[in-house]
Amino acid sequence: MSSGFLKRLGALVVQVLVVWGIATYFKQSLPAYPIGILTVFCINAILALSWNLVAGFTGQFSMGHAGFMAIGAYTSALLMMKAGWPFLPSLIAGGTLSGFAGFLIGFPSLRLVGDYLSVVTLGFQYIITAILNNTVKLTGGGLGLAGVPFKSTLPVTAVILVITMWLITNLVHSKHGRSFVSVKEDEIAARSVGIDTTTYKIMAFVISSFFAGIGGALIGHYMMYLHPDIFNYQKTVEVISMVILGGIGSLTGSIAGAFGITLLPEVFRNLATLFGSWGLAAAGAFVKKGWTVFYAIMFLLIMLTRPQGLIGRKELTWESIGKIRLFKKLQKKEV
Amino acid sequence: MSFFNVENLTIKFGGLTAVDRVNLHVDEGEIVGLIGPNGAGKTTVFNLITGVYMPDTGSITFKGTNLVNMKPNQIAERGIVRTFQNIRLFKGLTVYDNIRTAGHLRIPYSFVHSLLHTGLYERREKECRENADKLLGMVGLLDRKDEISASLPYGMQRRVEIARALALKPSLLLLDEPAAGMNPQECVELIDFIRKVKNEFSTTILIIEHHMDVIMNICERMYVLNFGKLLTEGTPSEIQNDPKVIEAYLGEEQEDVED
Amino acid sequence: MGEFLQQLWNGLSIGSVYALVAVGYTLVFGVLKFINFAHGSILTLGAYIALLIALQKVVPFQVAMGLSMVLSGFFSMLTEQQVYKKLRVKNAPRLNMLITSIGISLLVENAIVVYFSADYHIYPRIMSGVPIQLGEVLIPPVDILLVVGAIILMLALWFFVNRTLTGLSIKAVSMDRDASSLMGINVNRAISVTFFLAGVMAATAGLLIGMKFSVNPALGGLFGLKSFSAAVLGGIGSIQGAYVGGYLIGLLETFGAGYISSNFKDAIAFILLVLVLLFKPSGIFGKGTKEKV
Repeated sequence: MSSGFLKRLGALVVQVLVVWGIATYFKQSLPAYPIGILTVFCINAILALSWNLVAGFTGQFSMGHAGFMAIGAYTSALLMMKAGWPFLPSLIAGGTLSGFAGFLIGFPSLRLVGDYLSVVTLGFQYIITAILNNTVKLTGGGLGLAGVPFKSTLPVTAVILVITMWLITNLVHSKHGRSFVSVKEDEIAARSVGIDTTTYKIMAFVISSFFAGIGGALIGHYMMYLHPDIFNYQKTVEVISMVILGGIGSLTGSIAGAFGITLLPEVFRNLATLFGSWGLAAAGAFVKKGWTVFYAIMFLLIMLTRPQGLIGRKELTWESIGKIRLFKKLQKKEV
Repeated sequence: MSFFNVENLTIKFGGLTAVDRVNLHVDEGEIVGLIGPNGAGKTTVFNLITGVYMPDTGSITFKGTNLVNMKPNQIAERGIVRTFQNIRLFKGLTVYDNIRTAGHLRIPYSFVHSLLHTGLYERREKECRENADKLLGMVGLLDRKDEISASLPYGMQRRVEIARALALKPSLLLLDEPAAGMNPQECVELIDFIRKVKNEFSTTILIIEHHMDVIMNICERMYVLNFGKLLTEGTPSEIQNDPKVIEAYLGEEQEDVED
Repeated sequence: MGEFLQQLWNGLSIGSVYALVAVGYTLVFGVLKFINFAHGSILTLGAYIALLIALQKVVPFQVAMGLSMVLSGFFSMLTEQQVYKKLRVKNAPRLNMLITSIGISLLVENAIVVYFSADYHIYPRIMSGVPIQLGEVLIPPVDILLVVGAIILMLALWFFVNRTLTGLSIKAVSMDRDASSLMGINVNRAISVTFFLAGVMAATAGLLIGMKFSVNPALGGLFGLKSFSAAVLGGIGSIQGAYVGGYLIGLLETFGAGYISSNFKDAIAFILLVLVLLFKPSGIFGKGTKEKV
């Protein structure tokens, strides 16, 4: 035990306590609508971080993230509902089983490169959907699973996000994290310096799907209802777009991207109401109905004009915020 | 038992026998050259030694263990580390991170320590940073360590690649055309540098090179490959006066003219 | 025996659809070396453009379908010229092409959901629904159109690629883009034509699915992925491979559902995909390649 380690652990505890305090205060003082948005943001940020680890850092473009989320969601929900487990063990079991699925999928991925891996992982998601649809007795199949206990309160999800961020940040800034990146950068070079790329790929898959499982479980405990179609291709794309928006390979970018994508439908919804209140009913209805098209167009525009995302590979720190041109101008004026 | 031994090494690509029954050996502490006209199979020999390709027949033994069937990372772990003819850095990473990534084998700590950033993590990372600083100081790139490696000039990228290989503390270093694209002045510097590497790291070196002045200067012995076959071996002066070698190179030059 | 023949016919008819889509993946992979995730959505687009035109009640449905094939082909070409090409000239990483193609599929599917809703839609009936009895096998008339139509289109494509100058230029670009360009082949034109053909084939598949079953905006996802599995099974890059792979997936899926369990019908193609990629990644007709270091 070194003092450095204890200091860092202490900092984490302080962060957790502060976030818990703020979230509890919000929960008591804010209306349900913004609390809901903030909770969904926290879950989305966990999902974005987990996908970024495997795709952004290790370069393994998984398209089966929704499948891992489904495994976590159903495991945690069923353990609580049918086996009477408490919340925390169920949640961790959900993540663990999802991580195990990641191990199984990571295995064939050893021999696949680039686009093939994406397609196989996407196929994996369809297989999970097929399994869920055909285990009616256990999961309710296509009828859905109602009565999942509500556990994803804002304080719970916010604290899990803080811990997730801490663990993944630590991991990225270690020899394991550097080895992940080396796989993405140049596999042949990585092997030539003794990095067992196969092991690291599987490792990235397992960790990423663990957190995807946690995120999926939190979705179930937030919506109080599960259905195989919640975890479809579109859900994976949603998570991908958060990371793209923020910047592939940037952890703070993932969080910013998750915030943006969570807020997007709400912005359009409010815009629609606003148009409606101005008497522009047609425009309001258009925005309300058509916002998903804008979303897709935004996705394409980012890829065409700024594929590195808003932040790129860098991390957002207080220092770097100070360096943003706008703030610099403000500072100059003050001087 | 010799330090490093290659026997009867052969690989075929389709109908072409790229490396044909090659025998060579390197003793500890030597600098040995591998030369030959373009397409003679020199880089393929490196690829076979480092496990990128699997030989059809033959054996590669290093300190008594057979390396055939081992994965490239296992071979690197045993102390044989290479550089690449067309430089394969982790292009998007800084110079510093290139070196630290390669040092990963020599800084033992487990996954849990990475996840929690424990005290052990801290100590090992400190060693890793110090080692990276030392290596970068040696190749004279300490002041550019935070630059993205792909943005460096070509010659510096070569030095980063060598420093990255040295981060593994190799006992056998394979250099694939380290002087490619260098001017005469840089070649002289390179010769000094390779000697320095050999002395400071007490490493053994096998080197592929086209610049004759470089290779004649630093190698104690050399092998000549032509069309995948070993043409001859000997000291630099023996090789320079060998009519077979002259013919092989002249033949190449004539072809070049025809092109 | 009767059931076997019935399953055989069912497998062949659905396999025709897979083959039509698979050949598009193969053609595009050939010239650009990337998996066009938007290809499946061209299938959906084709199915819905026909519906959109038919709803205007100006032209008969047959004409609407013909128009849809051409328009979808142009749309496919447009995605290449307006989007992928911009990335190509920038020398963007291949991953960006892939992500961008996901964006295009998102755009197409969301636009369809916004205009038509996410529900199922039924095509107007243009031929008799009474099955024809052939021995013990029942064949719906639309199946005959499906199988025969698909075969004609596949033969036409094969002829085009192997016997016309433009077709040969596509083949050349598939083999070596840089060399083709040096030999004076208009590479951009070859790529555009490839996307057009792939689009037409995919749209046709969408129309045939619409006539046989019904359409919904998520159609292209599942059919696209299964067809991609077919292309890989046959050996990606090979046209006859895509045809054979399509029919094989159709048959295996139908027989699997008939004789093993219908519950996991959708999973069969993906399990096959994983197995092929693991044990023979070059597929039935593909050639293996070694990466040069």
